[in-house]
Amino acid sequence: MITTFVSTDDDVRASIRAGATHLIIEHSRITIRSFYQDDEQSFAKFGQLCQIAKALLPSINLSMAIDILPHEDDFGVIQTAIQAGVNAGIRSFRIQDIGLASLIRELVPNATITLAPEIGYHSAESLRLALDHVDWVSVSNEVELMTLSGLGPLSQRVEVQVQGPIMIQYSYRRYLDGLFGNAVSYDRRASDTGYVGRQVRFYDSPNGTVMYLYFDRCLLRELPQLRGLSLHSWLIDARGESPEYRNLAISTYRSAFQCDEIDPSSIITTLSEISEKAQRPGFFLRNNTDQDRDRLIGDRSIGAVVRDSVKDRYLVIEIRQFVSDLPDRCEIVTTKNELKIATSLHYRDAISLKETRAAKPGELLLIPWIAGVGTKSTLLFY
Amino acid sequence: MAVGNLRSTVGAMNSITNTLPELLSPAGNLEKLQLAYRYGADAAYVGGRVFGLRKYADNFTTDELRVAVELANRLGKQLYVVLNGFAHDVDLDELRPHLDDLESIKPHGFIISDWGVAQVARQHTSIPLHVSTQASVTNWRTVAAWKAFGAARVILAREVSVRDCEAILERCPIELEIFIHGSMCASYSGKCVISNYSAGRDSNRGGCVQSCRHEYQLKPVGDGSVTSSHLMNAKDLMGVRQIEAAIRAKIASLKIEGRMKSNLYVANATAVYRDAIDYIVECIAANMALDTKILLDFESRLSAVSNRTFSDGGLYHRPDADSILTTFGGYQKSVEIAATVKANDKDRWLLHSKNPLFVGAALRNQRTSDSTEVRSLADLLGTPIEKGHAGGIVWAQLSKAPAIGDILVTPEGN
Repeated sequence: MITTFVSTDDDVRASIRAGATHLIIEHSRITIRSFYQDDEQSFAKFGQLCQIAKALLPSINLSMAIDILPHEDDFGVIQTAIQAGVNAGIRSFRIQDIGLASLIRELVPNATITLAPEIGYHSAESLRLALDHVDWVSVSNEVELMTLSGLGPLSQRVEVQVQGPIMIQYSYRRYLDGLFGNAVSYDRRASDTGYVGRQVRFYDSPNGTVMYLYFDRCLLRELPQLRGLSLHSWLIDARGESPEYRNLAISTYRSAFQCDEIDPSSIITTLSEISEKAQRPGFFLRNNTDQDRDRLIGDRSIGAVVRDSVKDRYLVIEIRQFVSDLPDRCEIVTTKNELKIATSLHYRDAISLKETRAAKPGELLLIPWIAGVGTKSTLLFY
Repeated sequence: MAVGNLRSTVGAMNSITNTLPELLSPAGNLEKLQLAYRYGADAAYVGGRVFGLRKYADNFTTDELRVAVELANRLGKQLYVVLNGFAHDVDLDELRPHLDDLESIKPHGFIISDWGVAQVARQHTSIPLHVSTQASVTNWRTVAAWKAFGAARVILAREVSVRDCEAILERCPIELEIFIHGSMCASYSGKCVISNYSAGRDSNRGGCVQSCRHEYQLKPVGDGSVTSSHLMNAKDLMGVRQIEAAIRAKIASLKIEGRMKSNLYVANATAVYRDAIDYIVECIAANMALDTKILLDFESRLSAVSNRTFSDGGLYHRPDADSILTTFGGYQKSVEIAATVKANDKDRWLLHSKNPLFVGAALRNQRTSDSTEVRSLADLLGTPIEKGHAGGIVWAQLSKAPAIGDILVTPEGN
């Protein structure tokens, strides 16, 4: 399926014309990322948009997004919304919070449910477990290709965002309302003063604030890998983007989904110009964030340098393991992840100053001074 | 009154206090764990080598976890191991053998946020499962989903009010835990990956670089003026005023954030909340109104240690503009940790200093409030020195003897 979000009748028409086969209808009361603020609370919109969509494309698939993280007070409104959706013919629901699955199944026994956690569920194990409880999963943008491949046939029940803004934070707090305080919603570009030039986006609405990355996820150069996964759905997120972006992105991926030949370079250039953002695959191919130091240390840690108390004389080590025979030769990993080899080591108890060969967690030992080994460097069994 | 006596007395007097909340403190290493228990924690949570979400806390080796659990059991306390990162496949491969070790060590609970980790933990161990705040659980239905999975306890999102906790417990009885004090994510915890993209470090695997604490330059879409703000810089949580409601709501555990925080923070926050819980329980049992002056004193003691100013987060109502410190000008504090007392040998004390120490420095014992003066300093080989480096280990002679585990602070103005 070629899936996209819609909030207005214009969105519905444009998306279907561009080739979408599955529309997720949003109402701002119950969705966190809608850029359109609905002022009606009866949810009659579901009926109207379903009618327009069915008239344009009778075979269109329609879903309702309920992706707030519900607090106790929200359940009444959610029930009303679900009922309005059911009355409009919707039987497919998209949730961020797994707890909502039970409510939907109570109200709509034949419902199909997509879990769209936004962030989390990064392993095949967690995705398999989720698929025991819901029909489909829309994976977060931090899930890498290898994990998806490892799902085997289950990938046919998975949706991947192939195009669009990357949500990097969701807060219940209203950051911009707190600063400006005179509107229903706020849309601001921003840059971290430590990363000037990387322009993120904040959208603040009554459901909280959503923060978007400075580049878009774009998998146009990864089409062979995408096709190889036999996914249930390709998600094109055009929320908060221009009609040109919506049209170009949906029509391009529709063609690509049908295995038509496309020229990624020119389309990526155009999408970049329209959105004023770079277009990148993000973590789709690999996600190796933040794994080096722990892998290096493993279970080999003897102890860590507390402080180079006396330069040229000794280092103080706080022991982290029971060691019956302290080694003469060690590896030392510094806080800069540099490896050093220490030889001819001997150890003295920090209190008695007596030589020792055994130690236990929490004890302080002295070893001879080693240049370049600072506080928090770790001694490892060689 | 000793806590144990208080509990039995109060328990007999008032059924509400039969479910006294546990005070749960953070421990970034063994030294902090000892402090947490010493200053009144009923339970502590620690990170293992694998997957504890605070990569830059010291974290515990397998042997240290063994020592920690033995210590907890000896003292009649609880020890929970944090495994609350969002696992990728490679993490689960590493986690499985670690879980076998943990099964033999038998901590009193795992704190987990990820379904995959929970599944693997369930398959490999019999350790009770506590659902981390990283899982962003905000309502009874999600609590029920985790309970059905086998969770013994759910640590709710920090955005859930105490009033909502009551509603949750009515619909789904289970142990609930809430944060009562410490730093807060500005976002729903676990719903943030800024660090992943901005710094190549995984917010949800222990690598958060705290981009939310930075200053941002904001401008409207289209034309408009630029505004600078620390718009995501959440104030610290302080929940002294919500303890009574939490006790009445039968919340099982009140948690202090801060495995990365200093010895002083752990000792001070634990001691204050110990006093506060005991005082409030006593008031409830005696059907007495709380004394605002006493509550203010608790708050004043908490404010003395480094903080970003305080709000009550989401404990009372949805976190609002007042929960953000948009013009951050530095941490607030009136005391500074000088050193922790690690050992004793005749008339000298082994100090692990946090800040430079000087001969003649006037210090205060945080536990006893006694003043003490540094009379002499020596390095570990016994050579006299005038100054000890920050982070160093030195021998000191002091005018007033401390106990091992005490914390010495530099009072305001010194």
